[in-house]
Parts: sequence; structure tokens; C-alpha cells
Amino acid sequence: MEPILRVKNISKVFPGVKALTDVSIDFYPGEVHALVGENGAGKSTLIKIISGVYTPTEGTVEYEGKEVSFANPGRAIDAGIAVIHQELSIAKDLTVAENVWLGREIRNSLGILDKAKMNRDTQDILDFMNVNLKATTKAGLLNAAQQQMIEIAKVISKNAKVVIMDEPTSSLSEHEIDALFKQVRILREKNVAIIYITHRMKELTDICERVTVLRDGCKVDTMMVADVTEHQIVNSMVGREMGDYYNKHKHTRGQEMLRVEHLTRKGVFEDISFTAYAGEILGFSGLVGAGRTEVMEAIFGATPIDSGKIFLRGEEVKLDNPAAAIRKNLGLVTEDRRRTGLLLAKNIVENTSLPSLPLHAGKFGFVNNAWERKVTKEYMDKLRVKAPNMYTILSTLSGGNQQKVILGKWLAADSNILILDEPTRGIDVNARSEFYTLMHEFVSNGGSIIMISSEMPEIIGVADRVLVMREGRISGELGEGEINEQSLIRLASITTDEPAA
Amino acid sequence: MEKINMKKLIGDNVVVVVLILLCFGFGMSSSTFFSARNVSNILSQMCTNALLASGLTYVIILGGIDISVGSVAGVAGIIAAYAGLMFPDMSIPFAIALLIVVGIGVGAVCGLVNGVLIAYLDVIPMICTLSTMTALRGVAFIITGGQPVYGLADNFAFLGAKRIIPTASMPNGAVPVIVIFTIIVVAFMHILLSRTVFGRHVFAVGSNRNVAHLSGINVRKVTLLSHVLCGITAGLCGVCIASKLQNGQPNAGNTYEMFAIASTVLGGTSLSGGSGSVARAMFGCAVIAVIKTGMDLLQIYSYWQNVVIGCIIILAVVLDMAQKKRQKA
Repeated sequence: MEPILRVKNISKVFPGVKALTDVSIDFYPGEVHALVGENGAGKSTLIKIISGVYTPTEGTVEYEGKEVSFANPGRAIDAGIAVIHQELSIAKDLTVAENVWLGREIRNSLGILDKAKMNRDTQDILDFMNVNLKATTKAGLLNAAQQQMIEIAKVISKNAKVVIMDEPTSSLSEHEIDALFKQVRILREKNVAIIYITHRMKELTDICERVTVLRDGCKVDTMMVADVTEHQIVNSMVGREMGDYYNKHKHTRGQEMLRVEHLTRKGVFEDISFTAYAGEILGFSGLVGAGRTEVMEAIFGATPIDSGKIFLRGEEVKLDNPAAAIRKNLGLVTEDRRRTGLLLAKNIVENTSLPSLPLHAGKFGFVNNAWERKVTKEYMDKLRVKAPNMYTILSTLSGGNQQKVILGKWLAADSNILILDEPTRGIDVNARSEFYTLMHEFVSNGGSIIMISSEMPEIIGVADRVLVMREGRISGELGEGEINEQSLIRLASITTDEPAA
Repeated sequence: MEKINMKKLIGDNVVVVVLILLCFGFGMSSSTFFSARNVSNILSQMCTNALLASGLTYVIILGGIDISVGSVAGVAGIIAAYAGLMFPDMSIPFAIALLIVVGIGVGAVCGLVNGVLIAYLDVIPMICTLSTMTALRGVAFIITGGQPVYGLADNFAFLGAKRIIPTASMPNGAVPVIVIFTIIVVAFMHILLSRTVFGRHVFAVGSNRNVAHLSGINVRKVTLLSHVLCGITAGLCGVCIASKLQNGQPNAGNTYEMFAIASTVLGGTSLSGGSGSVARAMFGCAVIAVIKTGMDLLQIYSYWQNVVIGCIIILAVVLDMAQKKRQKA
């Protein structure tokens, strides 16, 4: 059989990063081809190249035997390549039929929308899919699984020949997953080539024929699912050389700093219990969307909890808002520096003093400028922030220096428990190494760090102890000597293998 | 190096340059422009606008807007006039105190309404204050039955209309009382914004609400207080107008919001929030006042003046957006 889609020797370079290196894969019609790999392995870059969002730096894409270069995603869709994104693109105020035909509305000879035909055609597709949905229902009234059916109906209505599904099951229940698989099989029978991205090993054996493993932007291998075990696939996803660029140090665990008991927010995370100690870097591992960020925001008082208790240094506390958490010496370095971490248009002084300013205010609430300058200078020196002066606007600094300013802002607020959410994302290697050293210094001086990271090498290289979260729950804890990629993947993914005792 | 700095200096102070150019231009074309009387007139006409702009600066820095300030001024003026009628023999200090209390009181209540709606019920500031603008103007007409409130004591007019410190050329006084009053209020508003923790929080919320919240700032409270402050300055503006006219007009302050917004934006306060200054807004007020009086002196038809002001706002906003884009690039 001829492949419908081939990527040949694809490389993609972004400024400073090589996202893909010499990747070649063939995709066949009537086959579900899984794409697996860690976060950052290059899966999304690859699908963006196939669907016309990016153009490759090197290499070619062949579709139906001809070399193609889609100028934009619209061209790719017209050619028959459709993507169902993890975040569904459904207009909630429109009906099912209106969503299916969005942007390609059927018009009659007068140029007026032919609603009847659109509804009829949509209903035919829905009936063909054998789903119990009406074309005229408002999409907003449907649940996530039903909305996904709209996406599939859209794909069928476009007569797509290649369908890319990006973690389609991430927000579905077991039962809904079965219904989705039924549709995937229907597409397969229609001789559609399906590229299926997933983190769930179980789904490989359930629905996929072929699997390609990516690691660090390179193709490791393409295998027939029937020929390999889950274990072999997991093993080929991991296993890379790690230098000592993490500066891993042994820390001595001190007193209990933060204890969380049965923390729950319904539908987001459930029954989260753990303890963080002074002199320790506690890693939080898991897949994106496992609920780690949400747990930390709740502990910090930024979002409410339904039940559960929080203890700081053995004392139960109620943290209803970030101000309360800050007063108790908690600091949160968020995942998205630009959106939730920094005042980008303001200078280093204004950013550094922001959380602690009220505590050092003078009479009548005047800003204590002398203190502010002193503390900013102190932490710029200690953290080795590279900037022309303390009045430099944050948006002009590099990612690494911005992150140092955020760290400085919490140190200036006397934080001794620091929650770091993906602290080295988008930071170059040298700055990372420096940041790890700063983390080590903080912990050695009696601080406690909780670090969320989706990068396994980072977790392995930095954390003293690791908790893994999966689908809103803690799925396991790994102590010294147990932290390795196999265990992390096993605890983070949903596999048929029984977790080791 | 020096050249770039010069460019930046001018770029940061466009409004000052414009002001100087305008004064120069009008001064050349009208012999009376620089007379002591005209300068004093410009200053006193600036005052009501300056009061409004000083409070508006806060809500605009937050990334919001308050277009109800003109109506708030109207209501405050009427209530001050009715209160004034109860004391026909009032002394000057009493009259000043009465006006200030009414201005702050009425303004704070109106600002509180806007603030609660915007900060706690998440109503979009534009829609919220458009509604309160309409409603409060209605209130002003209901209270007065559409008729001006006359018969106020002469001392009632001291704050808004009288001058002190007589000179040879101006025996009735060279310095309008309202100018002194406005300077005090504006100075207070400027220092509160630029020197205090609260002011810093206003900038933080306007720059990025999420960051402000996660840094322990009570975003809703800061938003509420800013609207209360804006209401108070609008109330004080209203009582000054009533005092100046020595009566209460239900239509007083109508369309003043546009001039105040124009002044604030001309003064470099960004409509997208995060940056701005009360002091700079005063230069914006001066530009508007100079243009208005200059056009009066040149006998430009007054309807044209509205067209000019409208165009100035658009120009200021376009320049602001262009600058934002350049910063991003």
C-alpha cells in the first residue's frame, strides 16, 4: 500500500532550539498511527508542520504522492488534512450543524444560508456515526464528549483523508472513550489515515496499529503495536545521557514546613495529601493537565478548595487569598512568567517589592523607597541578575533574568516555602544551571521548595523526593534512589501494567 | 547617544512640547493671549477639568474608564445648592466646608456605586458608567424639576468665583480661589498615586491583574477605592461649578467627561492601563484649556471646538496605540 502522507527528513529550528531533527514517517490510509513521546519531544511541532502552521527548516512533506507546502492551516484543511485539537474549537452559541459547517456554510443560489440543507446533511452524518445527537441542538448544551462528536462530524463532512487527533481522550471518561473509539474505527473503515497523539499507553493496544516514538526531536523508531510490549515503548521514550548540569546536591531534610491533608476541589483534584520539609526539593511530576498547577494555586489561596486542610509548620491555616499565604511566607513562581509572574512594563524595583511593599510601608502608607532600593540591590546581587540597572524594564530582560527577578521578589518577601511551577521553561541551558544552583542555596539555608516540572530529566536531576500526579490524584511517591524515568512514566501514564508495589 | 536621549526626552514629554507650541501660536495670533487676565482666566477654566482628570487618571490606569463623572458633578452641584439654600447667612469658612463635605459625600456615594458594580459584580466599566451617567443626569433633573436652583448667598460663590491677592492691574484679586483649591486636591491625588503603596497597587492592577492578585494585592478593593476617588473628585468638581455659577444647574457638567478623558490621555495615561500620572494629566488639561480659550479669542465657532476636541482624543489614542505596538516589536 502507498502511504497517503510522508514526512521526509524533517528538521525544524526555532531561534535557539532545534525542535525536530531529521524525522521521517510514513502514514497509511485506514490506519491509526500513534505518536508518543515526552512533553517537548517534538510531537506538536510535527503536527503543526503537517497541518500547515509551521514550514519545516529542512525536509519535505508528501501528500497523495506529491510534495506539498501548505501556506496556512486553511490550505491544509482544503486539501483534506484535519486536526482535532485537545482544546476543542466549538462555538458554544451555535448549533451542532452551524459548528460543522462553520466557515464553509452552504448557500443557495441567492447567496442566502441554506439552513435546511446544512441541518439535513449534518443529521445524515450524525446518523451515519450512530450517535444520538440532533443537528439543531446548541453546542453549548452538550458535554465534552458530545462536543468531540461535533468535531468528528466536521471531519467527516470535509471528507478529510488525514485526521490528526491530539490527546482526544484527555477530558473523557472511560465510557466516553469507548464511544470515541467507535468513531475512530468508522473513520478507519472510510480509509482515513489517523495520527493519534496520546500519553496513555493502554490506548496504543486498544486502537492503534503503528506507533512512532519521538524523543528530543528525533524519531526513535516506528513499530507495529502488535509486535511490542508497552514496556518496550516506554523504554524507548526514555533513556538519555544526563550530565551533572543539574548540580544535584544532597540536602539534609529539616523540620516539617507544609503539610496538606485530603485537599479536594471536585472535578479538578482529589484527596491530595503530602508533606514538604525544610532542606528539601520536593518534585511534582506528571503529565500536563494532571492537576499539579491547580493544587499549588489552591494551596497559595488563589483558588478555592472544597475540602481538606493545610498546615504550615505544624499549625493549621486557612489561606483564602494570596495575601494570607504571602504573610505566612509562602511564595509562588507561576508557570507562565509573562501572564502571571511579572509586571512586564514595570522596572525591577517595582517588581521586586510588589508583594512585600505593604509590610514595609512608612507613615500614611507611603512607599519606603530606601528599603525598596536596598532590597532590590541586595537580591539583584545575590541572584546575579544581569541588567543595566535596577530601573530596567522587565520586558527587556532575558527569560533567565526575568525568572531571577521573580525569585528575588519572593525572597524579598521572606518566603521560606517556595512553590516553583515549571521554573526553567523557556530558559537557556546556562541560566537553568544557575537557577538550579540558586534553588540549592535556598534549600541549604533551611528553605523548602516544591517544584512542578514536566521534564523528567529535570525532576530526576534536581528533586530529592518526587510525588507523581495523574488525573487529579497523587499516583505515587518516589524517594531517593527510586527516581528514574521508567517509574515516573509508569506512575504518570495510564497503563495496563499493575503499578509495582 | 545624546541625540537619542533628546528624542526620548521629547517623546516622553510630547504634551509639554505641544503646550508650548500652542501658547506660542496663539500668542502670536492674539495680542491679548498672554495678558494677566487671560492667563488667570485659562487657569480658572482649567480647574473643573483638572479635578475630574485627577480622579479619572486612577481608573484609566486600572484599564477602566468612568464616563459618569460629568453627571456625578451635576448631582453634587445641585445637592450643594439645595444645602446652601438652608444657610442664607453662611460665613466663608462655613460655605467652603459645606461645599467640600457635599462634594466628597455625593461623589463618594456615586463612586461607590460604580466601584461595586465594576469591582465586585464585574460589569464592564464603559457600560457601567454609561448607565450611571444616564441615570444620574436623570436624577439631577428629577430633583430640580429641570429648573436651576437660585437664591444662594454670596459667600456660597467664594470658592468657585472669587479671587484673592489684589494687584494694581487686577484690584479684585489676581489669584482665583478655585485655582488654590484645585492645586491642593490635585497635589493630594498626585502624591497618593505616585508615592504610596496604594498608588503602586493601582499601577500593578492596571499592568496585570493576575500578577497583582498572586502578589497578594486585593484587586477588587483597589478597583473599588479608585472609583470612589474618581467619584470624589467629580463631586468636588460639581460643587465648584455650582459655587462658580452661584446656582445649581441640572445640566451642569454635561459632556465634561470627554474633556477630562482627553486631558488624561493627552497627559500620557494609557487607555490600556498600567501607566500614567496625575501631574502629566494637568498638562493635558492645560492643552485643552489653551485650545478652547485660544479658539474663543480667534472667534472660532464654538461647535467647531467640539470637533477639534474629538479629533484630539482620537489622535492621542492612536499615538498611544502606535507607541504600544512599537514597544512590543
